[in-house]
Amino acid sequence: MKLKYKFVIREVGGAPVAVAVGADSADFSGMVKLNDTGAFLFGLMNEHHTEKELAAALCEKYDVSEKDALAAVLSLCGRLSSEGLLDE
Amino acid sequence: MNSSIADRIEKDGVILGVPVGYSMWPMLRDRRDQIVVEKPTRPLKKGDVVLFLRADGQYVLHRIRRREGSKYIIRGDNCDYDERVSADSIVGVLRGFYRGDRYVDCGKSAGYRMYSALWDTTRLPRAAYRRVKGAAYGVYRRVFKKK
Repeated sequence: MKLKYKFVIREVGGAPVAVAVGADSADFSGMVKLNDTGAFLFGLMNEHHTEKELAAALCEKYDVSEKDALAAVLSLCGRLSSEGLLDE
Repeated sequence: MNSSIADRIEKDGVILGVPVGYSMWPMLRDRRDQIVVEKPTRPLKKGDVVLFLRADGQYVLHRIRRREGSKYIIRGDNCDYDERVSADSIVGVLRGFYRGDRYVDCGKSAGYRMYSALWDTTRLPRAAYRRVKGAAYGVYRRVFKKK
């Protein structure tokens, strides 16, 4: 799965926030508040990856189990999908 | 995620957004840079770039030129006209912006402060240049492009 729009991630008030830029900002003008894990995954999701690939990247970056990593990926993807931000 | 910009600033205190249009060019580039706008926490002053809500519901980010009574006289860096804006229409003030990957802090950047001061003092020559350029382009079109 891949993000529907081209996002950049910036730090605002000490926390990562994503906004769509370029022509995509006409379709999505909101901002997405993230935590560090979310920002890491968001950065990867500008390119297409499966849930398992994202979970594996999370395991490599952070010291978490595969099960927890997959749960975090599915949680984020569920939230993004409900907001219409995933190009599934 | 669908709440209005004013609501988001009120709730979160600060927002990240993308500027649309050319009225603050060359400082802000259409849909390319990112702006960090915060709820005003101090009296606004000349040179501050503020986000205000027009009567038609459009949000506009322009620079304060001066104050007249209860109104602010505001103009975009790339505009030739002023707007009189009431203080209660102002919902935020520009804290900083990302130009490409570089963050410019409006309160700390010496380069930004110099730009802000120079931009207002050079307003008349720049307006004259734009008019001359527009007239020259009109002549060029009549001479070389008219079929």
